[in-house]
Amino acid sequence: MAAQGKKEHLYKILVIGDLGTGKTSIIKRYVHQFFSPHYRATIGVDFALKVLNWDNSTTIRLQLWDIAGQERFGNMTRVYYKEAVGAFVVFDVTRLSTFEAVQMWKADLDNKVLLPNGKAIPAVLLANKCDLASEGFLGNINQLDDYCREKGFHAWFETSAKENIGIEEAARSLVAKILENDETIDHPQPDGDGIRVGEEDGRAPKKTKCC
Amino acid sequence: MDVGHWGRQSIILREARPIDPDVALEQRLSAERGAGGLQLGEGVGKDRRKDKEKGKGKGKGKRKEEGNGGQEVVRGAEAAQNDVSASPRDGAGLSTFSDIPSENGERGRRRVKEEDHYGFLYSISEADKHYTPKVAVETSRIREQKWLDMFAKWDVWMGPKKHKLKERCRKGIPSSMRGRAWQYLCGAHDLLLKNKGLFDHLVSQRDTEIVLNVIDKDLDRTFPSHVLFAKDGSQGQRDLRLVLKAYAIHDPKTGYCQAMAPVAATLLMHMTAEEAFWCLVQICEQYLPGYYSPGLHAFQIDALILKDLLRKYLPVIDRFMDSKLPPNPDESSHKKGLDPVLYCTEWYMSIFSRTLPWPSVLRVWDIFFFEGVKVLHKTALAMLSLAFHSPSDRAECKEFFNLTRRLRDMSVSITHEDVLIPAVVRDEYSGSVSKNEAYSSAREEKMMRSSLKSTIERCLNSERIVIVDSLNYIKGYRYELYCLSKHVKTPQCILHCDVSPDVALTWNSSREDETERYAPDVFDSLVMRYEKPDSRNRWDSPLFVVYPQDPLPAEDILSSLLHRKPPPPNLSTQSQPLSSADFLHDLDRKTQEVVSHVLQAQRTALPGDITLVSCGPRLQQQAPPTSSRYHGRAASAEETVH
Repeated sequence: MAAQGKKEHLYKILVIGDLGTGKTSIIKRYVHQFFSPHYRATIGVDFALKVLNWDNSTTIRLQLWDIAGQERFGNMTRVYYKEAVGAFVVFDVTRLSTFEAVQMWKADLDNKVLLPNGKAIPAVLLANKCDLASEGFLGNINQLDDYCREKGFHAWFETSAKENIGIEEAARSLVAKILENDETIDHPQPDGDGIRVGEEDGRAPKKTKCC
Repeated sequence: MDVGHWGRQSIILREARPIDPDVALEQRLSAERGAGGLQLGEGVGKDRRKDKEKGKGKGKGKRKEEGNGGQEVVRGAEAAQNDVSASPRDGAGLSTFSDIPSENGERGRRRVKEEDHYGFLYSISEADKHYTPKVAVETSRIREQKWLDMFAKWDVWMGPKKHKLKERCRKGIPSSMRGRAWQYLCGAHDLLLKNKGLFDHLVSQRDTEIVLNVIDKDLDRTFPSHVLFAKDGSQGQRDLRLVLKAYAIHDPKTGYCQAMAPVAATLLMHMTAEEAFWCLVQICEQYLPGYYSPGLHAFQIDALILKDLLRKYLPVIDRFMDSKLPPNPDESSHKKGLDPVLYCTEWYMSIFSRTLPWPSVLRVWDIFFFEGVKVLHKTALAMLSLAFHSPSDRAECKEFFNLTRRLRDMSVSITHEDVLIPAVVRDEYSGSVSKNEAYSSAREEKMMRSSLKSTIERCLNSERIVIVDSLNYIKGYRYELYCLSKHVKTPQCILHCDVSPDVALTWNSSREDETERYAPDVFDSLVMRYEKPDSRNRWDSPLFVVYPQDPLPAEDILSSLLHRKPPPPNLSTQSQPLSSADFLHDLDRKTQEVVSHVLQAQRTALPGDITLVSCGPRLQQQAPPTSSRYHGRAASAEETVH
């Protein structure tokens, strides 16, 4: 697959969020470039692969884990989360309850999976179904910025799987963050924890000042 | 498999009576559920017990002591594989995969072209998944009549004749009878009669939160490609809502799990909402208890069991799944081991209804309703075995993603009912262990020998000739096999390839595949332990001795199997008496149940009331699963309370 001199990365990315928020739709849109209003509810976990030509020298393969949204499958999330390096947390802008559940998903994530350096894995918040106009929180973008900072999200995006809005951007942003993490992890100094923390702080103070 | 070329011998059995092969698997399954990692076949357990009872004078145990002293070393048992009704198919190929998965669920994108035999709408591209099964009209007429006859005398068929019933379920229930048959098989039929009105009552309750938030979201994404559920607000969707709502209210602890929707929908394709509800109750409470409850604990246990079964029966595939598939160069830390829990969730929880082509789904369900949860394991094993049997199949799935894709979109060459179902109902799975591994310790050998024996026992049916070419270099084991054949009243013979140890040694070292060679120490100890067959022993006779340059006396062997009288039965090989040992205890227990029921009824009932006592139609019969929360099955005793 890789041409000579080309770097290749394989990343495991989780897609989580309450049921019916459109996780599968987002993945289908992102990977297969199409949308259907009718997907089957995901039972357990489903997989998809997206290959990105990041730049001339890097190919990135994203292994997307589409995880069932119903709470009771959450019991098995420990297995699903293992060794993930990034996550999308999805909510449905037309249903407040799915937004409220975001916190829970994020907490679950931070509880069960960490980067090799002990940090939380980067997570991007997706406000899906933005084509279905919503009254509440979308109006207040600053507020969502604050929310992300407070909850430890790397960034957030308005998305619509139907209209193909925001998904590519969100993915790029997450991948960029993962690559950045990768660099710090790939060349670790034996006891370099302290140094990395310093770097981290210097580099992305605005976006990932998680609690 | 052979015991070195120098001492190759076979015991050939042909038996006349089928033995229920399921008992063994069932016991093994339950043993594995209970004992975690312990992977013992039924035979092994027995042998162990026997060893403990050594000297207590129990016929078999004693004989064993004489024969083997419990110390002999045994080796590997691939031989049991030699009579397999359906062998795994190779070369499934990746041809059906495209980047766009062809799932039932993605209707929007697809031009709907036709409606198949089962009511699924499909496009031409999917045509291979929607073939119509070919059962001759006449055959299905005959089968229908048989089923009608069975419905009329259901208790008899669930009782003494249940082996026959099982066979008929395995052959496939005629589609016109399917709905009714499922209800009868799972006991939903009785429940419905005994709890008339409950469904309507449940349905008339107010919608709970779970109904509004979750169930309603799933209605239009459950089999949207089926005519019944295709249109929003269609009768099918309304029924589905009723059934799921009724269950959520009926069992608030479990509520609604998304995997229940396809199960309920499958039922609704064959019966009314109320009937489907009671079948769902039976599935959730009797067949798969705990599968759908919030923790999904029972399912997770079954996923672990599948893992164990894989390790035991398909060790190559298990290792393949576990192996770290070659990761990308810079990602060496990624483990790609694929645990069953990652792929069997949908299989098990939706009872394969979202995984297999529809004709296969129905066949699996037919068997499932009779045989229960083990059918899930059997189906999973059959699919995995068919999909990854050949090295080339495995080579194609080096990458994690290819592997998961193949697991999700199984090729029709695997899931077609004519391929899959025979593989599901075949009962021979044998552990395969390499020669040297099997001889590594006395314990290992003993286990292999026991499981080989029980496999042989299970393989027996009226039409088969069983060739056992392993582990029988020990006199005592040949005697045991002789008893097996005697037990089923069929002749046997011994074929002995007489080769000197020196020649055998050269043959062994000239084997091309190094893993196929015996290690020197193993070889030596085998030579030392070897017990040559002797035609004066009744268990070693008739004995055919062949030398390397001789032609095989095939004719004689065949006639000794087909035209010779079986050895006369004796007491130790007679079949067990029909009533089990705990019959008295059982009788006592049931009597107490009846009495206590009567007493209780006397306390609460009004004069003239009729009370039904539920204790099953026959004491010995294993009634189908019935929830004790409702009135039990047909009552056998009626008590009038004064």
